[in-house]
Amino acid sequence: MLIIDTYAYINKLRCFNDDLKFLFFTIMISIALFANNSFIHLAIFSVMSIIVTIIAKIPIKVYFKMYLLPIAFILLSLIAFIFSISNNDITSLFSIKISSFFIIIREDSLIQAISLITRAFSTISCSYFLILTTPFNSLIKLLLKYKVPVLLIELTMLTYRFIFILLEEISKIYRAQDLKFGYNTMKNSFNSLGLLLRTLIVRMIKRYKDMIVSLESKNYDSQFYM
Amino acid sequence: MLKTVNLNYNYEDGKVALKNINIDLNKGNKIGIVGGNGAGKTTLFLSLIGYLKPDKGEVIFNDKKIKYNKKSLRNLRREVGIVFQEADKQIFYSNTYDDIAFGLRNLGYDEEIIKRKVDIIINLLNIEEFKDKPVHFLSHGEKKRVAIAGVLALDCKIIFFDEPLAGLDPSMSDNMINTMNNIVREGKKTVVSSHDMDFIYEYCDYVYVLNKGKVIDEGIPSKIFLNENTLNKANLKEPWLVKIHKKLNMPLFKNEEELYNFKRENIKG
Repeated sequence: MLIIDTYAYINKLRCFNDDLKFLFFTIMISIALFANNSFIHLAIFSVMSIIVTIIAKIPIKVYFKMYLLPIAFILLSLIAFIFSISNNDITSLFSIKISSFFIIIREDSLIQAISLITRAFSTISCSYFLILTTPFNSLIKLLLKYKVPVLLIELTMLTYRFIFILLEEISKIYRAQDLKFGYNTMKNSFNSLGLLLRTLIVRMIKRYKDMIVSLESKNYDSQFYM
Repeated sequence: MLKTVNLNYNYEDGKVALKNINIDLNKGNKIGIVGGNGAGKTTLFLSLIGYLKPDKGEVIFNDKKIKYNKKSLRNLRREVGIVFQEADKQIFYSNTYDDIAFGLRNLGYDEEIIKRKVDIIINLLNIEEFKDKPVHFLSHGEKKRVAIAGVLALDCKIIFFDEPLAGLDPSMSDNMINTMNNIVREGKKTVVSSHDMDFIYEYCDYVYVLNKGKVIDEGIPSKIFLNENTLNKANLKEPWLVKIHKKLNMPLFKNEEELYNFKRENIKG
């Protein structure tokens, strides 16, 4: 999360017109979503990757590492997508018999799966293009400008702010535990992790209470004005 | 303007937090509230801004008892602001400008007036350079300045500072003291709590000493800090200027400058 944020501020496209970036993003992601041709998806993916790595100068390694997380999700969902279970051995690309039923891969589901993968990659690359080249505060301004409901923007902004507070708390607790050998063996690690979660919840409640005090002192009236 | 009469407050578990507190913020423009850890300083602050409702006694604002409904609290907090110790807990936006404008927007000001007010504050506190940075990229000192800006923008008559110097480097501390002096120069009041006795001694013009929820002494700093009894009871220490007064037989100086001037004149004489 922090990596994305840092690069959003130092990339070479940061000062490029935000509206144009947003327009480009919208067009590309619409094409990626509505086109059914894997080649178009791959083309979008390549164009976006080239822009992000060569023009915006985001290090290639960082950029591709960012795909690891979505890849994990895509692979998991693909398992359910590609394999199907059948009672009789229908014609398919591949089948394997397990006791009384067959696990099979059908040609049409394979084609669909490929299209799904390429579509996922092209849309992810579009999103990465936007968040890696546009700082969050500029994004909020864009959303306001294009009349996205304020409630949604409020929620996005608060989530964004509090993710960092949460991460900071976690890393503080983790560091304190780690320095006292809390993670040196498997057993200790589980113990420490449980403690970490407990401490985290207690601290979050405390912070929440403190924040209410500070909101009150500024006459908060249940709306975060943007 | 703001004072308390026999204020009592107990924690939920029945432990006494504040007992018969009589504090009058008219006694000075730079009021100090000192006391050891757990003496009740923060609880007192929260009572004074109307966040905690006392179990007994009153908080009196402009000669009237404060009421704990939304409207009168709103009126109170228009005039009374508070800067908390931890900056992170009072910054809600990822964008500095929006955060400073938060209080003003809650009061329903026009966007144009808000912009003018926020810009003045941004200039005053020298935070222009990180106006566009997201808040989590800022250092502790920078966050603190943003938090103060958010309170200053409200133009309160009385501003509470809970441990304003905690965690700041020496030059940021000086900066902070300067800012507070400027606030007072504009005709406002500052009320500070701190464990830094040197700072309280030099900055404040009236001091309340709290211990275990009670005010055990009050008066001008040069009187309070000469009273060893009070200091020991409240877990406090003498400021260095008081120490050299007592141990080196020097006159009692209000600040460093006076000491140097005295030395200069003596050498000449």
